[in-house]
Amino acid sequence: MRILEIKDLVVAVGEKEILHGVNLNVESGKIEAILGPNGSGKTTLSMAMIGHPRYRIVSGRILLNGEDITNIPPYERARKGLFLAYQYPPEIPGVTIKELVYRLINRDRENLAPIILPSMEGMIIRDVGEAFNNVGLSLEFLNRDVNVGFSGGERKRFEVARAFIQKPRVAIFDEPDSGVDVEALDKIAESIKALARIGVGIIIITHYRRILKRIMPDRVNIMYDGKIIARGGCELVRLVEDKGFSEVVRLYGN
Amino acid sequence: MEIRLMDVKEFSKMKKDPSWMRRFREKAFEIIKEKKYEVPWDQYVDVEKLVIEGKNIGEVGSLKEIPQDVATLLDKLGIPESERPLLIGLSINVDNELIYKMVKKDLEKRGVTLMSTEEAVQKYDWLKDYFMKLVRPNMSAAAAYHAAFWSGGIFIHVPENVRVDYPLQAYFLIISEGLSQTEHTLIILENNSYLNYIEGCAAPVLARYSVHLGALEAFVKDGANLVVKSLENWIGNVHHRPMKGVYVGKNATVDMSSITLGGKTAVMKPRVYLEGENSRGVLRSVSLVNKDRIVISGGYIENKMPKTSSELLNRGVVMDEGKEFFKGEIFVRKTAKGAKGHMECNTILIGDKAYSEAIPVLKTELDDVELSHEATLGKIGEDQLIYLESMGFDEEQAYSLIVNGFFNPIIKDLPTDYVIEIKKIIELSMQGA
Repeated sequence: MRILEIKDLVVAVGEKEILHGVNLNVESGKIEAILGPNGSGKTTLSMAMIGHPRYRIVSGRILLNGEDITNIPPYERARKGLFLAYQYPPEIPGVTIKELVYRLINRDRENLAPIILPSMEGMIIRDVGEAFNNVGLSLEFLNRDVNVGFSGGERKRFEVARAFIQKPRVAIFDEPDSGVDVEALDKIAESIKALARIGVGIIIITHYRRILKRIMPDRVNIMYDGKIIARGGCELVRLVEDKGFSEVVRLYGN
Repeated sequence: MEIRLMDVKEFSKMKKDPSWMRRFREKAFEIIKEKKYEVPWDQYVDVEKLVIEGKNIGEVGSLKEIPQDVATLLDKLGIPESERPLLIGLSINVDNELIYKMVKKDLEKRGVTLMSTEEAVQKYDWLKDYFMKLVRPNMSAAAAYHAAFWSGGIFIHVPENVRVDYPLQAYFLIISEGLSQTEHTLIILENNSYLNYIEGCAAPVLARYSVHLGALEAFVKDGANLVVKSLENWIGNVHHRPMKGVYVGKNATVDMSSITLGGKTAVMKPRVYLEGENSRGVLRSVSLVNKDRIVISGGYIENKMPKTSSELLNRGVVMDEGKEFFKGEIFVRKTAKGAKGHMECNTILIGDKAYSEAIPVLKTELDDVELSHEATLGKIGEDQLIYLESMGFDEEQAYSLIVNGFFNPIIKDLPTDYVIEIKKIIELSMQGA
């Protein structure tokens, strides 16, 4: 089932056009990989999808589950089931992971308790325990401030854990493999596959190949200079690996 | 009873002052007369239009006898009725009288005193060596006014080696319009004692402004440790002018926090004197400055003796048409070899009309001291906002979370009910930010 459609998306930052007409479809439970060199527009695509105000959609449309979400604010997109795991999630000092996930789980409820009482902790652990376990984070992590002093691996693990907590229809992972060790990489890869198994449509953005060996995406998209220039199976990953992006560009560019 | 008509002698008689206090008030009144016409001492407050006599409730024997309007205000400060019996010490000051005080038997047995300052002054002559020695009548016209017309407040005395771990709580409420609240709180900690003291201020919506001109003086003797948290939540038309002074003896510590959430204007300049070797003074303040409110925060810490250490930490969120001015000063005297001082000022501005200004002053008469200052001033990061919004939090929820986080280091150790109330106030303020 087609869950996300991106049609002829043109995106500018300031006056500069970065994406020149991107098309991408994501099916429920399938994994799309977007591979491309630095500066090819991968992060711009993810930011435009979630609705970051600095990334202006000049033309084109984004449909989530058939509904046009091109012009709705970021939080509505999220509430309709779009998720992004950030490449560089920012620090939020003074806000604990516990508080954040409690508010995430109860996002749509009115009159939330302003603070988390000890009696509520059991409920939070029940709700997030499995997510944390999936990515290999201990429950002590709940007491840390969001992303403050996290190692690269911890940041990425928490971003992926959020996907289990938020239960999106489409999840975008922006460079989930950068700056993590092998053990974390395995956990992250397993988690993404698990999400696909429960029907989440997945987009993995990366310029490394190592995570794709663990995940084997259903389709590989090569992005270059603000466009997707090639689309195919895992043979494209091998082509990039053996010959580099320049060869792919030579074969498929224009 | 307006002050221009008020005879200070008459006032003193009404208060049943001992003779030393009567003379003290009269002298202060002379200072008012001298100082009054030098400058208008406050551009927002016309003292001559204020009255000192507020509502006359009289002392009540139990919390059940507290009038309903007062009880409603107590709820606003975050002290639910159900938990009141759990308190170990409590006092309630309404307008200019102490209407209720309670201290648990166990503390009484250990010699802890909690009584109205008026009663204490009548009872203990030796208080003349303490009373307004830190907040002195000649410091300002406001201090002189307070000295002449102080009324109400509490006196806390903790004997040597006694620890009061659970907070003693005091509430200061203004329910009358056009009132100057002049309560005087006096805290004396004998050697090696410990006190955790929390005070909360609140007022209902007032048509005509009232002014809080209360004072707090604390003597923290050798090896003693005092923690004070002041939560100011004047809902509306109150000008907040508290005067605070703390003496800190050898190896002693004071850690004082002000949380400012309401009132038309607030001017806070607590003064800490590190008079004993190896003593430590920490002044923290957090303010939420919204609507067209003006807050002047900061303070003064004087390192007088060797190895003393001072910290002045300020956090503000300024929004709408609010204005915050931080004026902090750390002064190291030449007798303070090996002293340390640190000042930190962090401000978040929300919106284009909010204004913030910081004037940090580090002064020293010695070369060899460690003094440092840090300041940050900024908008809430776009990256933080979009990160939270892309999780499904709307803009208000995202702002609320970030601002809560910003305040958290200072409010997190308060009793739960206080934290809940503060968070509710923050959330409310973020609506339409």
